[in-house]
Amino acid sequence: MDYVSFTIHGHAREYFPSKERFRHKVTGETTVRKVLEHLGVNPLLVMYVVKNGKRVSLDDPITGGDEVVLITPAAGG
Amino acid sequence: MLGGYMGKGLRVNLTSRKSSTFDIPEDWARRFLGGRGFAAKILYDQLDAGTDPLSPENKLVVATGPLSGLFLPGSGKLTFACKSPATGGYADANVGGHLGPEIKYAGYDVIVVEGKAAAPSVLVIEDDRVSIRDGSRYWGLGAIETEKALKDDLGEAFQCAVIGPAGENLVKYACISHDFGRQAGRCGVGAVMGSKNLKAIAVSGTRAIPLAKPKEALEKGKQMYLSCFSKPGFYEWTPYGTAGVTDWVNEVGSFPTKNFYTGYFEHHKQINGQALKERILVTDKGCFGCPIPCGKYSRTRWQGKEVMVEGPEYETIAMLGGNCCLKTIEDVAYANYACDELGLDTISAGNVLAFAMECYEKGLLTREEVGREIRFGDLESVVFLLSEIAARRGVGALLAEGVKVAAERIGQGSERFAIHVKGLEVSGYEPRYAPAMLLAYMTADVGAHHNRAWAITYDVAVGRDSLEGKAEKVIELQHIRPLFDALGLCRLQWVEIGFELHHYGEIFPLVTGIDYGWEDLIRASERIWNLTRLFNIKHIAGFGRKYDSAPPRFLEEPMPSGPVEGKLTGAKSAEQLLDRYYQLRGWSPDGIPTKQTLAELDLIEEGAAY
Repeated sequence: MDYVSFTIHGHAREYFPSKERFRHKVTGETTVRKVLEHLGVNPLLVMYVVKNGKRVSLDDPITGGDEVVLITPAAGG
Repeated sequence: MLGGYMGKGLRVNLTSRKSSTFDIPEDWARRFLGGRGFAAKILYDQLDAGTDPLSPENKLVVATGPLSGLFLPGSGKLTFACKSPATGGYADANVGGHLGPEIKYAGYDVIVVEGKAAAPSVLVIEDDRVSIRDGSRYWGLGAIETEKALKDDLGEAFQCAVIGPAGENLVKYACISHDFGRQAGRCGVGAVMGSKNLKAIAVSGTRAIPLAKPKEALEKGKQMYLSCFSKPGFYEWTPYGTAGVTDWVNEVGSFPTKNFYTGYFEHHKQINGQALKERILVTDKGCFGCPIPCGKYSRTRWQGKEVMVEGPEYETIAMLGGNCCLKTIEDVAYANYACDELGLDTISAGNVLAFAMECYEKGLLTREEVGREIRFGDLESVVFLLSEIAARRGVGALLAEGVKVAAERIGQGSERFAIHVKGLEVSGYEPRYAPAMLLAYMTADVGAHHNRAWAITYDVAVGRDSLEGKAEKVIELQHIRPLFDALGLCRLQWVEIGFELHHYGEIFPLVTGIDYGWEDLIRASERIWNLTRLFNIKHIAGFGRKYDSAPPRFLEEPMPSGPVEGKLTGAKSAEQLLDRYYQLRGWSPDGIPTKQTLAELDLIEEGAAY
């Protein structure tokens, strides 16, 4: 059993059940989309995903030891 | 004396060419905080109901906040306010850059500009030395070249607010520009400045801002910066700035496309943050005190002409890109440059251009009337129309009035696709299947503007079919977001990197000495919201519920394509949301604040006439 470290970025993290940083237990390979669905969070609340410093999609594989940043939407201009 | 405030306002009458100072009452600070709060108080008290927005009797209020110019994140915001020529109601528009702090350093919390100069003029303020100088050599110049010329003439120490040709020619969505590409964009504040024959305001100051508890305020400011720097994703957001949201808005089917005909633009990956970064970006650019510089300075080329432009920001990408169907970031950047130099708000301009293009497609505007063919996706059409509008030439004279008036004059059903609320063109989020965002636009005090309540993430989070909690969320956001405009701060640290709101409640008493926490600040923001409502009731005959309505396209036409194809919140639900909103606000079913509400908000004096 391994853990993926998540950090959530932006004001929309208020719609997540967890705090700014959390760890999620995974068995083998999964995806950010699956983790969010497991947590009851609409994956559309994530604007983009950064895994270990690189932009990836919601459906890219993640495994134990990965560090994932979830960027939520932001408005401006 | 309170900290954070300079304690003085500057009043300049351009007709008499005289200036004087006035004391800022401590009661104003406690009830209305500053920035847009001071502006609303001054305009509400001092403007007669029948004031023509483009007459000398209108006032242009330039208002800083108590936290402007200090050592804390994003303290560079400034408000320009007046009676709007676009809506006839209350208007404010805010801008970043460095001018707000400079006005504080010159010794003023607010500047009130009255009257009308006999000839083009520049208002120059150096601490307590105030002069109204001949501005004829700048008249007719673009906004960016004017600012450069002013810096050359006066010196780099001056921070300048300027208008372009659109402001001179009273285009109802002319903006005020500052810092070579930042704009107080909305509601036609640039037209009001132009109506006063005022081409520019230049300020240089040398004073210090008093603080109630200097050591503690400095330490708290430092903590706030360190907290921003430690936020997760801090290094991920800044490279794209606001343009980074472009793909997401398409994914949720809310990207304004082809005059808000639909909410998905198939070419969005050619105009998104990544395209900006990879193809045209030169450098980042930040405002005063900013830890997360969202400004993107870019280079683009069109018809052999190379230009530099700050942007495009997301709103410009949405309104000139998706809404006018420009398919490359280079084209959007050039259209952005054209708006900036002419002094046009890119949000309203993109809306007006798209309206004109749809009229042309439907045969409601002819080639003879326009002077040439115009079509979606064509940069030549965009540049042509922008120049005609800024000069009020040909069809530009009609389009310079904004989509509401243009549709009233064109008729033939064009009102159905004139996308505005209260006369202000809608900004970059398609709300027909986002009930909270729809309500946010309907009820925004200045007309449809996302900066009052950006509620679309709430719609996505809790479900877009549900109305539950939507009015509550809109009101919550309508108090938080404009609060930043009262304090003189940028809200993006909160919005973009999730910087916690409680910090602002903690630093406010250290700076000012007023024993307010976050909830007190929110209460003051609610008071300001009700005061701007009273302004609209005073100035717009018959103002009430019918003004809080959305364009027919948003209420009656299901989304024709994209991820939410076939979806629509609908008119009946919109009315239910409005009922709930009024109830929660303590307003009558027609949207008028009750006596009890005004009393509870300590607005008895202001509400006495109602």
